[in-house]
Amino acid sequence: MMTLLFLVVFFTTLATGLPLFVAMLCTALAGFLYIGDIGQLRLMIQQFYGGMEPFSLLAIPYFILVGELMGGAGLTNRLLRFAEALVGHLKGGLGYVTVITSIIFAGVNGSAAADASAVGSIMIPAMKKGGYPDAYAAGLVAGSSLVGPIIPPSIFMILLGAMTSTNVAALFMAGVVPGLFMGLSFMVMHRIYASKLNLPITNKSFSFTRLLSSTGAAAASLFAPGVIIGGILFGFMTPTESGAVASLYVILVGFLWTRELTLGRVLSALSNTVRLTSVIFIVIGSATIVGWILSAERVPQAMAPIVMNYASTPTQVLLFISVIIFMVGMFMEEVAALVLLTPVFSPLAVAAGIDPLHFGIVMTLNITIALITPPMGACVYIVASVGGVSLEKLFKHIWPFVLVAMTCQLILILVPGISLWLPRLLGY
Amino acid sequence: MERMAFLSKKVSDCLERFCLIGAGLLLIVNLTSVMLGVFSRFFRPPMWTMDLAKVTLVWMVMLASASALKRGEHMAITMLVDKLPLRFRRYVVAIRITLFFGILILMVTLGIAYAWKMQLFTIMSLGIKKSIPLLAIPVGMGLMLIEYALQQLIALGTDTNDLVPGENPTGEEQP
Repeated sequence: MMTLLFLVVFFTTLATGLPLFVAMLCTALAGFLYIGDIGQLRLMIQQFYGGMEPFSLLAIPYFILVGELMGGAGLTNRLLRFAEALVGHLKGGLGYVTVITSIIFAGVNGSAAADASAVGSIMIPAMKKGGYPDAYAAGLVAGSSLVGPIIPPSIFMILLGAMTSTNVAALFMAGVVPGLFMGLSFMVMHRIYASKLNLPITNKSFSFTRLLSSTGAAAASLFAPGVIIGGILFGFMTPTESGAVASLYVILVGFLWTRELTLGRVLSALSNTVRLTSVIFIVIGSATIVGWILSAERVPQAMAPIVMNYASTPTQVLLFISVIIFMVGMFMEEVAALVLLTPVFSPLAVAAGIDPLHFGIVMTLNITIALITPPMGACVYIVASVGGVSLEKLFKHIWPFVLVAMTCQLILILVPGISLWLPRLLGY
Repeated sequence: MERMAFLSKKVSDCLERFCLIGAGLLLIVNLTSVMLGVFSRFFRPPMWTMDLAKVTLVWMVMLASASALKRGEHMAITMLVDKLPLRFRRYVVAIRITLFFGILILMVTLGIAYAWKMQLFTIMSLGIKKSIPLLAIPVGMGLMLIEYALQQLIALGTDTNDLVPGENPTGEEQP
């Protein structure tokens, strides 16, 4: 009954056009009124504050700032030139450049949105100019941006780690192989489309000199993931602190090495960062209240036996979770979906005997796929906007990319070793 | 009415500048604090860096929220309302405005009451009352309330032949 009330209030208030966090606060208020204890209303503030407070969440603004600063520091352009020197001689080379840049970019910032907007603003016009169909070019950018939250660092994993008390560093390591696997899958898909669409070659031949010079220019970007991951692995810093160090690293590189970063660009990056952080954290705070009421009313515990009737093995449970998140993710903002659904599904995964790291990666990938599923996929809106592509057209052409991501998801569920191999190797 | 809209826009712009400058400075303090924690680890790490980072983060988030509201960056689904006939849309928008004001006034009230209660407690490492970080919530919600009210005034003073108050009059300031 409580779940039904929550769904009705949430979707009704959301349909009026209220901001998501207000719809969630209305839902939480309805929950407190349903319980009938008005004296407990102060818990709304306590939970709202508590949801935003965990130290690990501090990494979120840092990795957003890194994403904002990379373009201004000229690092994105250098990365693109490096990728072009590496694979530009292949048929449909620009497409591979897009995927490879997204993979490297993902190793520095933790957000698919930053990845999509930074890579898309340069690559979509370039691909369109190179004769690529515009919807395919935009779809490829949106699709390959999905590796952003899978390859460490990842904002989603930081959130998930804070909510399930899972080691964030271990989650980061568990994301490396699935992220690379997903990137590779998009390259395989692009290989097929490059032949089908007869896409052009960018560089006539491979040049070692060009590769060497572009590697030198992009060294700072290529070195950044090493600083972040190495710092965490060798115990110099926590994942949260690695975000702060990465921000400082990009600022120093932008001012002292590339010399493309200006005070104006830093101020603009700060302004964008604080606003985006605010939007995310207010949703986290509001969703925490709803999640708390659900937990206090033992909704997840009540759901577990019902689900276990239909899905008893870990694989079946993960498939069930994936289907639910896929449907929810189509209509709900990703951070909100993650904050609301993790407390519901986490006890279910524990009951089914699923490894917390494997569960974390499957959850992250599920939520990430929601970034490109119509009608609410944030990355689709971003690439449509930065690439000047019609949203309707993009919605029609995004499905092959969704299919590739879902295939990766299915393989990941069936083969837990893909996510668990590296963290186990490193002793997590 | 146009004069009112003009004044509201001016106030809204000032409020945005104040919020963004404040939030930006807090982010710098926050970043510096964490960096200090990282680099001083090898010498004598101060105890307060983590708590300062948490306090500045909450204040930064709440200060920047009004600015995000002004720019229409808080996620909302408006396409359903947009498809309604104008007559129904007016009712829905009226409900939306009422709910927005109602829930935010509630959060401000509860926030002040909770912060007041928590002034008995102290954050030991910083030597400040626990109510200081908690006050960020009513302040931030209050700033959003003011911003939302200003947006309604701007909408009323704009040529609204095809619009209803609470809808996006300028194309950039939709909550």
